[in-house]
Amino acid sequence: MFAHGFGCDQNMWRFITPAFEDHYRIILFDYVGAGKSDLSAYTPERYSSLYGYAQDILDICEEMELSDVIFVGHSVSSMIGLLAAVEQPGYFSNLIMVGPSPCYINDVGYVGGFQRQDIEGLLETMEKNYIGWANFLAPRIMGNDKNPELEQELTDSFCSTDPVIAGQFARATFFSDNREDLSKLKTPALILQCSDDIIAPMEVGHYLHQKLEGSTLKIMNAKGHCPHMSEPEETIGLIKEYLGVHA
Amino acid sequence: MIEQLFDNAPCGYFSFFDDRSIFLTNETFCSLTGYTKEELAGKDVETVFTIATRIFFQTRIFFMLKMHGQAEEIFITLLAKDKQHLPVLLNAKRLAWQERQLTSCAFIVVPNRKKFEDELVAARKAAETALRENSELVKARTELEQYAAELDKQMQLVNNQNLELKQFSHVVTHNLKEPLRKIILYADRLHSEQPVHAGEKDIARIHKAAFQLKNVVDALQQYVWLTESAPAFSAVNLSDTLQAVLEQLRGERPELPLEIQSNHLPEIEGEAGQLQLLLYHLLHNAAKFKKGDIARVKITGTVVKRNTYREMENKYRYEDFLRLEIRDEGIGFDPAHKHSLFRLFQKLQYGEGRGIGLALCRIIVNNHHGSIEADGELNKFAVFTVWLPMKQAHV
Repeated sequence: MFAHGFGCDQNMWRFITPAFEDHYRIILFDYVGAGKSDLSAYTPERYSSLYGYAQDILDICEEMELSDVIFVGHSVSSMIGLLAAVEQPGYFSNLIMVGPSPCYINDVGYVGGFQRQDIEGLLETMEKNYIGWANFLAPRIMGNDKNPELEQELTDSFCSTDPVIAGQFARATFFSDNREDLSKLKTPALILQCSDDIIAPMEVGHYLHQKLEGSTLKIMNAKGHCPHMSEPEETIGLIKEYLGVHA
Repeated sequence: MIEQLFDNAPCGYFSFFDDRSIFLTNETFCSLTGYTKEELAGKDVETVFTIATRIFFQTRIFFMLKMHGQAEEIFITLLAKDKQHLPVLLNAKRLAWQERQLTSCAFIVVPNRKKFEDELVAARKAAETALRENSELVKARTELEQYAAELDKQMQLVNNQNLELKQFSHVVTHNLKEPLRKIILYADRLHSEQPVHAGEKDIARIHKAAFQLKNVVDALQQYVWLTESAPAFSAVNLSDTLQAVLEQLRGERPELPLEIQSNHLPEIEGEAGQLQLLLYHLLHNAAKFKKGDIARVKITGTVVKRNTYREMENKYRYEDFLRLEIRDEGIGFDPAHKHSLFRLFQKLQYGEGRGIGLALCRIIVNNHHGSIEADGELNKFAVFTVWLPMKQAHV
């Protein structure tokens, strides 16, 4: 099962999935609020924290009666997958975390990579870029109201997201702190750590490897935060190598 | 000549390769950022990005470029050499250049747009805040939340009670009527039948049926008591409870070879007696349905977040639950029975037991607003998973 991260949808896996099609059943999905998901299913209550997103994964597992799931999550989806696997370990056999971070903001004795004001700056940049949206300037409290014009726009453009939903996802992501949950994971995990990734710096990869019992850490040559898009071959190779040994 | 036009174009220009190294810049760009062309050539393009811009680039612009080949009307902030922030409106395009992929960018500085936008965003936020902070709205919302939580609890209760009622009528029609029918039958025969010596057997049958009847009534009594008693919650240390249950089991059946492996279980809010009964029945089951000489049981307690709403759709409040997994490698059961297992007097195995233990477990878990599930495989394993709220809601 491939889970997209913040800022995109299942299309981001298009360079990776063909390499696994022959030997695995591939499950791709958009979180509620992203891609072509049913926006009317979005409730701010549910998606104000990562638990609501983890519930999306568990709902899919339950509905499709899955087991032995190899969960591949990019960025924040690594932690979403972890929360799902802690709650219902029975569904999962392995977690593959691409550019994971349990906490983005620096803390005493912990390097997450960001100060709180950096994240506030990101939220501001996002808001500015959404100003062109038809409904953006109207005050909104609920995310439930249907807007056909907006939905049209959404289906037409790639990786677009409703601005309010994107903002809430950004808050749920970048203000999350799942460090306490790491020791609860019993599913074996592969950590793919990019070199020179501002969003999940090297320290975070080592921190995770140390806290996740039975985890494997691979440092990638790929730079940036999206190795599955910038260096798909390396990403595929490392996943296959890991599954050859652990699955 | 043309180079001069490019250098002094009324827009900033920069381009970089996929490894993020800067390829080309123009004078306008350099004078705006305070760098020289030489300083920038080959440098990481993120040198001129603020941190927010770097995140935004990684989580958004990168995808657009990779998928669409271009990105338009992007609002970002550039970082000048003197750390000044430069709000710009940027268009970017990917193209092949000397067999490499180059991202070519042009931008204009938009300090005024930023001012207008700041005002727009501030106005929108003010409107939103005004709406949100409308005190009456907030109050109504809190009240609604409380009612919803209460309603959900009531719905759980009604659903559970419905289920109990159905089971009760089943018990009355089968488990109670059958021995009663036998007693009447043999008593009638005793009354009318000759010769007398046949009566010995009938009396024994009446005895057996009456004993069955007593068993069922005893079980029902316990069941009703658990269903009807209002639980008094307090802090319960489950590690202590587990020890108490193990002593209890070993006291009752010293010959029982039970091997327990457990992590440290936390303190939760609950009814001490009921929680002890819950663990007792789950472990008793594991010991009873062992495979081989020893019953090996693994107990794992994990604190997880769970939606507290169980009956109402689209209501969410995530709170801490203890997820307690009790797994044994015993004779297991056919997973087809995993739901019916918790019914009253449901027995998959003939022999000892009354088929009441798991039904009691279900009631105890319901009393604590939690849930219980079973899974297993015949001759392999059985695993019971219990979710109990760490704190009980005091509505």
